[in-house]
Amino acid sequence: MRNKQARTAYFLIAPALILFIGFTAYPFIWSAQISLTSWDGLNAVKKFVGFQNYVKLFGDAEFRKSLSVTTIYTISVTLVSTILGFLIALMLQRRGKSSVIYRTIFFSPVVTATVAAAVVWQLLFDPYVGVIDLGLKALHLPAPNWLSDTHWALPAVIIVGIWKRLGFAVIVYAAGLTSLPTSCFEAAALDGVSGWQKVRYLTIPLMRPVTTLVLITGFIDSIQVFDHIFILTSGGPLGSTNVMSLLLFNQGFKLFRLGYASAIGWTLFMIILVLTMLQWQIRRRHES
Amino acid sequence: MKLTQRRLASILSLAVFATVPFGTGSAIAASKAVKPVTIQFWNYWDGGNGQALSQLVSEFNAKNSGIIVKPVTFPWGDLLPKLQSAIASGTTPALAATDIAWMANMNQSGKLVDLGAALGGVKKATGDIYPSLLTYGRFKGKLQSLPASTNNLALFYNKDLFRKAGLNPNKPPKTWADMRADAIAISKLGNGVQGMEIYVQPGEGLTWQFQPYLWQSGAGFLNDANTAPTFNSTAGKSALQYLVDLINVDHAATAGQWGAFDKGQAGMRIDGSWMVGGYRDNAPFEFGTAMLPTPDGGVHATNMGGEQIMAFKGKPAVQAAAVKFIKWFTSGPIQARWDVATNFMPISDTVANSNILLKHIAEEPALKAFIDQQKFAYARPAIATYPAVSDAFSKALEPAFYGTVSVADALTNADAAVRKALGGN
Repeated sequence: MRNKQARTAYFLIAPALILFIGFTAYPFIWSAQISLTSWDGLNAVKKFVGFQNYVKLFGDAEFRKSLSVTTIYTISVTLVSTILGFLIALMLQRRGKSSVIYRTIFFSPVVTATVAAAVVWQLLFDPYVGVIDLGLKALHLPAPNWLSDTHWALPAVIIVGIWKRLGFAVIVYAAGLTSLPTSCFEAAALDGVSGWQKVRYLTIPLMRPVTTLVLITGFIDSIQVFDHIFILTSGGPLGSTNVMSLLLFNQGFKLFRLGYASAIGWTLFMIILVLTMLQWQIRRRHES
Repeated sequence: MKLTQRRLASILSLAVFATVPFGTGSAIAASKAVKPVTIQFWNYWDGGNGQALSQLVSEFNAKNSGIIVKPVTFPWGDLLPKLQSAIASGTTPALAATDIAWMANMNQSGKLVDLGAALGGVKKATGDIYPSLLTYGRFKGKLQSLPASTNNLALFYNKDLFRKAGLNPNKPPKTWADMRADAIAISKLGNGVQGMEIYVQPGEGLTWQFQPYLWQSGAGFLNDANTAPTFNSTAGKSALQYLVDLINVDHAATAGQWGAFDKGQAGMRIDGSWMVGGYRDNAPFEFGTAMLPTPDGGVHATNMGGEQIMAFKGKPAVQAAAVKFIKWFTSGPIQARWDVATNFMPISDTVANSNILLKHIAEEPALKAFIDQQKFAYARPAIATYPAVSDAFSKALEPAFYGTVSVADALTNADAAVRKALGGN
């Protein structure tokens, strides 16, 4: 009976397992192999170079700059979208049934194709015809050349990142808020606790598992950002938006350094793995 | 009589019945014989170029009942990764047309068909195709690709802005000094209008746009053996200084994103012949073209671009079909029609002198500048390290355009970076 159940289970997970092995596990191991070569992606010979690509990586100023740009982007997008998402979800909670409309509006960027959205943002940021600069000029404020200015390009792509990410945080927080035990809040109300105190001492602590989820998914999502930066700035100007995924793409598919690009990919993976584990550890410590 | 008729009918029926297996057999054999070979042709020609290709391919398919060529178009940036994956996984298409800048790497894949051998000798395969275009396909004594198109860079200018700035719209600049003066005059129109749009985003785009200035000033890019840079010279400095001054001294250009000229916000820019059709149909202004201006004592020079077509090794029938298509596509009459439809430049004298192309050029005067300077087109180094060299070069130059590094330092940094890239690092 048990064997039959096991066979059925294996049969049922087989399609997913085959896809996982074919499209995730195998390329994953293969890329590790490639990262130890100087392969250009086309040559019939894959020359083994050991850990040379990894050693080179840490001496590469472009990689270090890319790491710092990725860090700034990831922290900014994750934190701002999480905080804003929480605040918006709180406000929507009070709007009753009409919140469905607002939730749909906030969630729409999440399901919008990133490339299409990036093209629209490119028009919005345009120094000649863009609505943003036209608005700033109308208010007699300085209108920067967003995507070409070394000081403004990164904030510009961060704004788009937050816009894209915010909806997910709003939906998850909104769902979390509806599941909170009402008894705690009723008891607090009887004790004369103010609205802000309820948020500070009840809502935020009770929402900690949701916050962990939003932070971890936000972090993993943001650290791998590629699409909209590729469209908006291609990593420029002067490398000010050259995030790691973009560096990886350029090294592998423009400069024919697939071995080096694979080493970047593996380094990115290790960073995500270590930081995600760290976040889980912190969460567990808080829970205990 | 009746009996005879019956007998006859029976005999005929039997005869018909008896021949059925043979008939069916021959029908099957016939259907097997004519079963066409379907081959994919990977390329990045989209828009009007893609339509022109589809039309020619349909014609080829109609004339060659045994072959069906299917064009598969990828965005420019996607084609190379797709080819890399296909080569690694052994799933290459039968045909591909790629940027000439990728050829040195494509040649080393070991997957390309020797077209010289497949077409009955290099001489027969190439005819009067310009030798400079054949360098990209040569590898270890073999010829692994043929030019599918070529192009070069010339000056585009906005006649409306020339008029507004009080300049003669029929007198484009001929020298660097003229171009500078015109750019300054146009930039004075205000409202963010740039006199000259300069490509400053790092990558091959920047290198490809800047190289003509180097060659015009008498500087080189790499030495003849392609083993060392030669751009860090007095002439090279004058070329970079010229553009940097347009941005940071004259304020006639802006270091930023590409696209101002398309919107009618820049007076001039350097671009390729493939833009002619697009501007003719869509530009919100009247445009003109001219040969690239030259510095005092300098020479005419432009950069050569284009695509090479190649066949991948595979089943004999597929390979033969691919080679047949290449032979047809690179033939004079087809290339002439291809150039008319795309505004690409001729790959041989046969194409250049064809009536259809000469008529087209007469009707499309904006192409004249490109035709006139094709003979001054320089080929970029056909070496496997070129993409890395170009990237290193452009990244070292970019800060100079933003004014954060001096011209001398930018070229010194570029020199060091290019030497490193040439060494494979």
